[in-house]
Amino acid sequence: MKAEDLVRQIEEKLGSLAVRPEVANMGRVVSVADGIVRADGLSRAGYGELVEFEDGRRGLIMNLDEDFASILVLSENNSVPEGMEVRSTGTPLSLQVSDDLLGRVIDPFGTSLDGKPLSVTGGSLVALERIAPGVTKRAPVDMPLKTGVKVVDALTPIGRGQRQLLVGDRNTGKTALVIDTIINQRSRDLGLPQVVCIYCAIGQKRGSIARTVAKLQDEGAMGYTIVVAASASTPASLQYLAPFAACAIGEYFMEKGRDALVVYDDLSRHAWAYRQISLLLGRPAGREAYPGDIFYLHSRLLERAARLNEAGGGGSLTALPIIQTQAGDISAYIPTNVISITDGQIYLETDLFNSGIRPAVNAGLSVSRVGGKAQSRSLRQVSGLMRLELAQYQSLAAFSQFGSDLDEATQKRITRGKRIVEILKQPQFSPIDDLAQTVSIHAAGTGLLDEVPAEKVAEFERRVMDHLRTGSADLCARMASGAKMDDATVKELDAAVAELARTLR
Amino acid sequence: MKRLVALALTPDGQVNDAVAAEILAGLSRSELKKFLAALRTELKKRIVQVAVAGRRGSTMEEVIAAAYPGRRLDVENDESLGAGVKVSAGDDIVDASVHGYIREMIEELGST
Repeated sequence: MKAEDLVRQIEEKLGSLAVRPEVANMGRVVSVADGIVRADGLSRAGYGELVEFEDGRRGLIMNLDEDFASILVLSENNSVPEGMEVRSTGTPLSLQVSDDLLGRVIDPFGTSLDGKPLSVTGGSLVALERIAPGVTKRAPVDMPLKTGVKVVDALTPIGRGQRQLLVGDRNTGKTALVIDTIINQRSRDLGLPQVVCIYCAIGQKRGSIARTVAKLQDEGAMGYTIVVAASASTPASLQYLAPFAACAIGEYFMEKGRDALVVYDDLSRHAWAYRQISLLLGRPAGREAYPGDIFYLHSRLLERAARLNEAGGGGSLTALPIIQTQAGDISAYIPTNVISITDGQIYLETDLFNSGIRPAVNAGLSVSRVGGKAQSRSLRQVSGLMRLELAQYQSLAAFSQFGSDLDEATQKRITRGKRIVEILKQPQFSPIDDLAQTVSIHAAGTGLLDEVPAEKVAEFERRVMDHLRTGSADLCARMASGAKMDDATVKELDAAVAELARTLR
Repeated sequence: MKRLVALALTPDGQVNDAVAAEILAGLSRSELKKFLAALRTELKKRIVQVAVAGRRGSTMEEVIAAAYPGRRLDVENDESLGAGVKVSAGDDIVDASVHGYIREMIEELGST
């Protein structure tokens, strides 16, 4: 600001001197313990209200007792001296959101973490905690959110406005899957509207967050992505608030009629942070020492994902929470809670990962309750058959070691199943479009690859789209819309695919 | 402690000497600390502290007394306010002084 501007502002202020009495509700810090402050007074403050300490730091009221308020200090430095004055603000914790945040890495309060100055102009001030949209404001989830990952888009399709959980042990590719999903939004597959992505990193190492951001930048995905980060070194208060900030940002775009995707990576660590806060607040500990409202914590967060109806602008907020399991135990407290809240789950397995099946998605335990409504017609048409073949293969896979002792029909199913497993493998950071997914899955599911050696399936997949685009450009153009394939199209596709398959036998 | 404070204070806000003597003699150091905190809270509820800069007007005191019926008004001069009045009732503070206005203006300018 220029000195003249300051002089003008002061002159304007003094010129319009109309002294309004300032009314404040005050309190005084009585005790401090690891980011939790107890203060007396504050008789008019409400639960979840923002308070301000004498030195300008802020806090959030977490408990209201008869004589004291327990306040969560919202700052990296949480050493508040005893006796300090604290005043209620009468406002909830809020964040200024606009398009200026796109491409930036911020903390839950909207402060830049990427070393560049951040000035958020325009937009809206949105509260971190809000009531989820009601049933009358919602529309059915029927528009696909393409991940670009065959196994997900074919078997557990995700719709815009859906809540789909990713669950699995550490190092099973959960984060890789969501990064692929974010990268895939660049292509605007099927001509769908652009999705604004919000990646929320909770309790992760700073190095991991930096790697993710660098990858998104390299892939050109930061232009439509916002990263909200509360690393492992930040206080529990920031880790607790991070997903709510990410959700509030997503809601802003949803209410503008746009489609947004929020990734919570991960809610296990979020639950740990909330457990720490709750224990420090002296709340009674329940199962696994989590507080009684841990279910409500996650349900109120994930309920905010929605697809709004036309009257509400038609925007959507899709939530992809991640839960890390211990030793594959999905029946633990937090995984079962979040499984019951979400509209489906993608279960990633260590054994599959170690045996080279990547993405290591366990098709049997993964489900999407929105289902085929969130798929293109053509992909739905071909994935149904493949799902059946895969299920039959999985039930017979144990017998495959007996080899020639099996009857011909069983051997055929095992052969086809192996090709399907091969076709569902996909390298990291290489999402593919709906057309390529449809072709690959159709080829494997209908047995066109039965004669192709399993180790050549990847080569087939690499070549098939070039083969189709050069030899059957008209077919590709017809299939590009994702509409249901008629018999003639299927026949033409079969012929083109079989031609390539013959060369690989 | 709240009951003890209620016993120690008379309805007009004065201290019951006999009860006070018993308290001072009978309570341990830690109990006294708790009693002090409870007493301060109770006094804040009962007494409205008014700080005034400049000339004191009886009308102002009447208005304030009417706003806080049943509470004792404790009025004192505080020239550091510049002009105006600052009322503290319980944990509510109503600051209608020049000092408060300037502070508010500085905060506003600081946030722009």
